[in-house]
Amino acid sequence: MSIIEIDNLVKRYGALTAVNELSLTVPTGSIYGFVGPNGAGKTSTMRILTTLMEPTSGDARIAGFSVRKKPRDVRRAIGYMPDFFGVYNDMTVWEYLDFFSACYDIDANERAVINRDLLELVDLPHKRDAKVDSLSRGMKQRIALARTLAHDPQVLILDEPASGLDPRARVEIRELLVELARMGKTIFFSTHILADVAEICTAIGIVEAGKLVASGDIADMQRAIMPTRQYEIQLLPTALPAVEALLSTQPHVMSVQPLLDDEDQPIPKFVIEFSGKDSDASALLLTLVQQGLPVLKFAEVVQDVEELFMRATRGVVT
Amino acid sequence: MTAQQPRKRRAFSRMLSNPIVVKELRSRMRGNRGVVILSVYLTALTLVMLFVYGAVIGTSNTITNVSDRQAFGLAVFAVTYGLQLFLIAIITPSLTAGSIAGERERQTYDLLRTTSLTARSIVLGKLGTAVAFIALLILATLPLQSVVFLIGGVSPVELALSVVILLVTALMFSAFGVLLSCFTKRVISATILTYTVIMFIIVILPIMLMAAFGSGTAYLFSLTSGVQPSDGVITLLFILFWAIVSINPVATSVASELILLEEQSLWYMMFDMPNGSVLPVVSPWILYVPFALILSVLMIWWATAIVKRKER
Repeated sequence: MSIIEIDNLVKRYGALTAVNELSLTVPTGSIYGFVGPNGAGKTSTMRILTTLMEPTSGDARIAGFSVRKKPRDVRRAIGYMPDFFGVYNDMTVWEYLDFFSACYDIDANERAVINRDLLELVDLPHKRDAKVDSLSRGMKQRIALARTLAHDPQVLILDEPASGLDPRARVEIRELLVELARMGKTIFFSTHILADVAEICTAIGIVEAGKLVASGDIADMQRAIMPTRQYEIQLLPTALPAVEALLSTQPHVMSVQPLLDDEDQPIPKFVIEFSGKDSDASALLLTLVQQGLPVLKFAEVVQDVEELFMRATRGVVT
Repeated sequence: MTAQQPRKRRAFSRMLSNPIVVKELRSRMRGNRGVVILSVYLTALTLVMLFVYGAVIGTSNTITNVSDRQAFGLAVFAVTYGLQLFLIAIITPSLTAGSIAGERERQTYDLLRTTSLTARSIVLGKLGTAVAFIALLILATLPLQSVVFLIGGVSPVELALSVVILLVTALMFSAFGVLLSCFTKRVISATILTYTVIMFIIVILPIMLMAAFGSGTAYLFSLTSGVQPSDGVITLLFILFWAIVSINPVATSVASELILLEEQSLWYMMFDMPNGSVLPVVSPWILYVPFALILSVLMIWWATAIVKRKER
C-alpha cells in the first residue's frame, strides 16, 4: 500500500526544470527519506505535495486524493512542516497551537485536550505559556512538529526537519519521528544530512537535478546499487598465509583484501567482495569451517548511506 | 424577522469561530495598542472640537440668535466629521495592509494555506477584524459628537447618515488594504501602496475628474456657442457630474449635507434645468453607499481568488 504516489511530476520555472518527470511511491507507515543536495528539487516537490504549488505537469496522490483535483482532502490528510518556522509575535505556545488546531475546525474543548497531549508528546508542557519566539530553535522545531499533528494527519511532510539544529536537538527530533511512525504515521521528509537517513529511514528516494535516481527500501536499494556485498572475515591468528589463496578461489568471491594492523603487519582479518546471495554466503562459511579454518567472525559489512548516495548519484550531476 | 434571527446569529458565531478573527482580535487588543489608538483618536477629535468651540467663542462673544448657533453647531459637526474621515483614511491602511503581506513576512502564509482554512475565511477574517476595530472607533466618537446636539444645528438624521458613510468608507478602504496586501511580499510596501491608492481615490481622482468634466463641458459649450444645449445634453452632463460626486466620500458627504440643509430632504433634490423644468435627483449618498459596497465585495472576491490560487 502506497500512501503517497507521485506520478511523472514536472515543475519548470521558465527555462529551469526543478522537478523532472519524478515518480515515486511511499509505502504506508514508512519513514521515507527524500535525499538530495540543495537545489535538487526537494522543496518544489514538497510544495506540490502540500498543494501550495501547481505542477507544470504530472500529478501526485496522497491517501488517494489528487493534489491537483482534491487539494482540500489532501490538506486534511497531511501535516506540513516547511524548512522555516513561521511565528506570530507575542503569541504563547498554547495560543500558537490552539490557533493552528482551530484552523482544522477542531472544536475548542477538543483542542484543549489535543494540544495538551501534543505538548506532552514533544516534551514541552512546561513551555505552555512561554512566548513562541523566545524558544530555542530545537524547541521551536518540536512545537512546529506538534502543530502539524493537531488534526491527526496520516502523512507528515517535513522539509529539512533537522537542519540548523544542534546535535542534541537533532537526536530529539529523530526520536520523535520514530515515535510518530510507531503511532502509525507515514513520514516523508527531505534532508541532505545522510546521518538522519541512515538512523531512522525505512525507505529512501535519492533525487538529483530534479530526477529520482534511486528509490525504495534501503536494503533493496543496496542490492540494486551495490550488487556485491562486503563480508568481514576474522580468524584466529593461525595458518595465515593459506587463507587468502583459499578465499579467492571460492565461488562468488570477487576480491579479497587483507587488513593490516596499526604497524602495517598483516592480521588474520579480510574483507571480501561477495556477489552471492545469503545462501551462498552460508555455503562459503561452511566451506571455511570444513577446511579447518578457525573462523572467529563472519559478518556482512553494513554499508553506510553515504556510500550508497555517492554511488547512486555518481556521474549524474553535481 | 423572527425567521431571520437564527441565521444572523449563526453568521455571527461563525465569524467568531473563524480562527483568524480570534487571533487578530487577540493580538490587536493585546497590550495597550488598541487602547492607545482609541485614546489618540478620541483625544484628537476632542481637541479639534475644543479648538473650533474656542475659536467661535473667541471671535464673537455672544451667540444669541438661533441661526448663529446652528451655524456654529454645524461647523463643529462638519470639522469633526471631516477629521474622522481623514483619520479613517490614515488608520485603515495600517490595520489592513499587513493582513496578507504580514503573513508572508512572518512565513506563516504557507502554514495557513495548508490547513483546512478556506481562502475566504482568511480574507474575511482579516477584513472583518479591521472593520470591526474601525467601527469601534466610529461608535466611540458618537457620545463626543452628540455634544453638538446641545448647541443645535445638527439633527440625529445627519449624525446617523455620517456614521453610515464613515462605516461604508471604512469597509471600502479596508478592502483596498487587504487586496493590495495580496500583491506584495512586505508589509511596508503594502502600506505605502494602500496609502497611495486611498490618497488617489479621495483627493487626486476627484480633482482630475472635476477638471476633466469642467474643461470638457467648457469645450462642449464653446462648440455650440450661442445655442442653448438640448435638455438631453444637460441631463447627461448633470448625471455625469452627479456620478463623479457620488463615488467620492468627501463630495458625497458635502452634497448630501447640502441637500439636507437646502431642500430639507434626506433622499432627493430638484435640479432646476435651464429651460425651467426640474430634474429630480437622488441624494449622492444613496449612490455612494451601494457603489462602495459593490466595490468592496469585488475587491474581497479578488483577494480571495489570489489567496486561493496556487503558486505557479
